[in-house]
Amino acid sequence: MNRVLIEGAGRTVRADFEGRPTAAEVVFDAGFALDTACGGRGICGRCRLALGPGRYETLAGRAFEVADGEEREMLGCRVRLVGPSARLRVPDSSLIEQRAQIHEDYVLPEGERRPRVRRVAVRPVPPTLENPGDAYERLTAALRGAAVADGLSCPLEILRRLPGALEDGGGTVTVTLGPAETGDAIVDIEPGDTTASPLPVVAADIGTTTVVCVLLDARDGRALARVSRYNQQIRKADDVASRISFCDGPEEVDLMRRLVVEETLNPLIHEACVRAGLAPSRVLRLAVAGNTTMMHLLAGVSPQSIGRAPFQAAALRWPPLPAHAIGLDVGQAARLDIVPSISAYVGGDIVADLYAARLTEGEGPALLVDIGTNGEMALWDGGRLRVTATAAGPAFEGAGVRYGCRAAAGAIERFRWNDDLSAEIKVIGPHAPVGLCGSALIDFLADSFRIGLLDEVGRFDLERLRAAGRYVAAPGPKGGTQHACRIVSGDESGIEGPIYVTEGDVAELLKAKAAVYAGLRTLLSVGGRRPCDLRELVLAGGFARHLNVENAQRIGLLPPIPPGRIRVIGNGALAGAVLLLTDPRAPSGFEQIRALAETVELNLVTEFAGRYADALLLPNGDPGEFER
Amino acid sequence: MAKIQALYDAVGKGKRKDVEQIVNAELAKGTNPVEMLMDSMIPAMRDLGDRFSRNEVYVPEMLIAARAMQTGLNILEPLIAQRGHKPLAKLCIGTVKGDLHDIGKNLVAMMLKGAGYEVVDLGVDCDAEKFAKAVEQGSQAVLLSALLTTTMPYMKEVVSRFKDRPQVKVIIGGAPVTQQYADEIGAHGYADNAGEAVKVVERCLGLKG
Repeated sequence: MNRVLIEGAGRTVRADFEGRPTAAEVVFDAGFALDTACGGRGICGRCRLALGPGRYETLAGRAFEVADGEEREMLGCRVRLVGPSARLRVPDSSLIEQRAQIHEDYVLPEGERRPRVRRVAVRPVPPTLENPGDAYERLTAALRGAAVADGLSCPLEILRRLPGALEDGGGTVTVTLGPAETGDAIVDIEPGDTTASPLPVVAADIGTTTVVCVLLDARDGRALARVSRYNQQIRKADDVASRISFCDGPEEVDLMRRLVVEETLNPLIHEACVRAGLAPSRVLRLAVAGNTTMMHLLAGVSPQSIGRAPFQAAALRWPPLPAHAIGLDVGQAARLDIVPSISAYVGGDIVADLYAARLTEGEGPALLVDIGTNGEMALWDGGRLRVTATAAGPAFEGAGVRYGCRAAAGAIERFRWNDDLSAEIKVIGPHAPVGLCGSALIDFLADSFRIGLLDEVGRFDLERLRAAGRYVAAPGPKGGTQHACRIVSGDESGIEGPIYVTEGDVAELLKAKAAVYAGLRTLLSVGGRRPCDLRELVLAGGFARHLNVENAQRIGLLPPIPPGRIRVIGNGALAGAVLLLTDPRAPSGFEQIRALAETVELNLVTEFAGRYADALLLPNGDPGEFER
Repeated sequence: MAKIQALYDAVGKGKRKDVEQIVNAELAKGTNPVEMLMDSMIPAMRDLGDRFSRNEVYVPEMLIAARAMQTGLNILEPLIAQRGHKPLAKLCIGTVKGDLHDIGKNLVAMMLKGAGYEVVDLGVDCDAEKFAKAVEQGSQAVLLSALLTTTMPYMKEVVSRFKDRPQVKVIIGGAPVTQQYADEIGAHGYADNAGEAVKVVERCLGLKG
């Protein structure tokens, strides 16, 4: 038996190994959340380890030794341990989703935390010949003794497993309790006392373009893993309206459900569970937030009636759904809770945002904007809460833009021009750039406009582009060519060929920013306010976290109010889903927000169309809006 | 024929304030408003519409130009009417019942105004009755817009409403709409984009080609 000492994440672990495992495997098995995003194929470059004294061999078969007092850095998945001993150090940068990083995505408000699922280990009084009773009665008595409220319901499936669990656990069982339609229910039963192991629950933000999942330990609310990917429905249709259009029959509705459940959520939950070293079947509770249409598609309910006036949703408040019935690959008894929506077009994501931001507890006037594909927003003026949604499209999430991408490894996340038109870029992770994510696209617009490379209607100064050697005649999506600005040359990019931004891409971004600004500006106007009246502007959405606010103001996406009045809460929809799992006040808090909310239909407000046209310009066609 | 290059450029580039300034200055000089419209502004929009159809111009630029055009029209229209200049034809346009999405419809309306038509904009959520009324008041063509497959079927109802009046042309468009659908429901015309809409109206009304 060979031995390795692994140091990292503030602890040192001694582990044994047999054969010739890779260093990454050994570290992972020892319980470190080593980042092997590419599955240990040596591509992503994230599992870098410091190899200490010991003997190793590269995957190519070259043996080497590290002497005492020395260290050598290598990708963990590219090197094998050959024994008899080794020492490994795991840098923090090679660990996935450490707690601090996970929470960077969203901010949870202060408040009581009491998970909606919990676990109790009990040891029912053993039966005797004189008093055999029945196992269920003895379990109920033991639970009463453990201060669990009466009136628990117990599904047949649990009853079937009860005798075996009692026997296998030597008389001790661990019961998982969670809310059901009628009070608490027993949702799981396991032999023995398992309360020392994590109690995994999943919170998800189901966006039109991006889906983010967090795996939490319900015992203390600690995040175990965070994962995200594009909502695979974008393969069929890329915004809410076109998804509703797509669903013109039961087969299409079911395809949409399968795309979001089987091709998006299941792989995400699986990935999160693997990272946390837990089986997905142990997940017994999930909570999600998303817009009304996304919730319909998740549940496999046709959104057709949302697509025409008077915009009737099938449901705004959903009962807890049996996870298996919608195809989620989690525990048999798992239930899925949904943050309720306000109307057909104003969804649970903004309810979650508002609750997480505690917006209606302040005096106002305050405006909350969730910058997503469906740009939802709310204006609170101390007494009235007006909400609306505007179709921004997926451009800020990198979709629908030629070299747009998600804010993941290889994405350019910051962009700036130098005086000589050399580009300063910041790429996520130690990677060659593969595309631009939303924050960099906004930086690009803002800085190009600042130096006059882009005019107010979104056209490049072609002579300057040519002189700087940055001009690209890009093939247009429907034939012809589009003028484009090269960001990264083919030699430096991590893809085949160069990375560039076309005038068509700029037009998409302008439409997105116009929809958001015109929406918030019209909402303010309906509430009798101007941007300068705002005491607070709250920015929500995963994208908001990475946004350069000054650049967002420079292009006219956000109103020019002082930075001190802007608060970024990040992914509030995800925060709301987390709170639905952990905060006993969340359901009533959501209902209070729903009761307050008045929906504003932007298309029925005359000034919206004019504001939209104005906002298509950089920064705005109305000179009064963005005085600089 | 006297094209005012500055006016042509200002419309094409969507410079609303410039359009206003140039139009007022020209009027002060005694320039004929009909000439301004026909020789500078309409050609500017037509050129833009053609480039839009060829994907050389994008929606933001089109909308901005259309609005600059509208600014000029607001000043010129009453003067042109006074001179007895007749528009090419009178049209009505609206989004169909249940549909509140009007960005595309607005763009088409502006393009048609910019091409010299009198356009009655019926707004959003229009039922067949509303279109019928507009026809009674002189509209020669009815233009229908829908953004979603959920609202598109109503187009058929509007078409059937004018079944007995073949001189009333029904022209449809919008994201989910196709030529095939237009043929299926018996609409007279279909346009894929705002630039195209002008040509389809011309063809349906027998005004050109």
